[in-house]
Amino acid sequence: MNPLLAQAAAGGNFTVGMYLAYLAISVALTIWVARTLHKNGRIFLVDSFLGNEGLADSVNHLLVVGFYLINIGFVTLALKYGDKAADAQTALETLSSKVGMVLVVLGVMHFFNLFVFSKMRRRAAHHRQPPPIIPQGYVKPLP
Amino acid sequence: MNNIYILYDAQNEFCLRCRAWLATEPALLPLEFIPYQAPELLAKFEGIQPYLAQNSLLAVTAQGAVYTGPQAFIMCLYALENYRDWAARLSDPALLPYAAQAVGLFASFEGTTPPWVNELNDKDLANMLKFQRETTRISPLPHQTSPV
Repeated sequence: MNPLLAQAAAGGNFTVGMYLAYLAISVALTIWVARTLHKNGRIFLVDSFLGNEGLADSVNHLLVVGFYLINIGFVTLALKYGDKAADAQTALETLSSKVGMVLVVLGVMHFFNLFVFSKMRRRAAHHRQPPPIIPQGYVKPLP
Repeated sequence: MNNIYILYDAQNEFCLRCRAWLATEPALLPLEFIPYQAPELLAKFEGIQPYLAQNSLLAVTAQGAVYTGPQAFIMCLYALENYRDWAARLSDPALLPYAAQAVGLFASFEGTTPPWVNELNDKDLANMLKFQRETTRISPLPHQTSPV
């Protein structure tokens, strides 16, 4: 058999296996982070929207959809970049670096989401501030 | 609280200047300006007569709370998006008497308050506004009527 073909076939098995492992691990991690944000971010949003749970749930869901789109998009786009694996060692090394990169991007997105949540909450608190003084008198309330 | 009604003396130049500036600023709570001289004033705000102060303005909320004197000016700032923090700062007892002068100060900058104003400490700010108030009270020229 042509030695190049044999090498390509061997490398192909490792690369395909590495790709599949990369996709499985990255998608699982994305789902985990998204569920964490969905569950724990809800309380921030409910507070920002003054207890309006329907609105908070809706915005939460929209943010999670955006999160999935960006992250799974990045994961799938980054699939083919990086070294191809000729043997098990290179496969593991490449897999590790690619998963590491995905984790860093997920981390950045996670903190960005937290930043967005806290900004919404702070803005809502500012709007809800009562007047810093008490009235001097009263008239009949307006209709 | 939704609307805040600002009742002002339409014959007083200071009130007119403040009203003109407040109308241009973005507001978290919509401000509605009604001059004392409007015929429907007493009918709309039952019981407002004792509070009407010459050469000054009043703030009345839709719930019927009335703010007079410096507190009325605090409420003007409280309603504005960019000056709500100023309202909290000026409600301090050291600065409260000069709230009217503070609104006059912001009005004179016509929307673009320079950074040095925000960096003034309470003592310097109080001195600045107090001087403004004392000089106009001692010998106000006919056009310089400003609230006490």
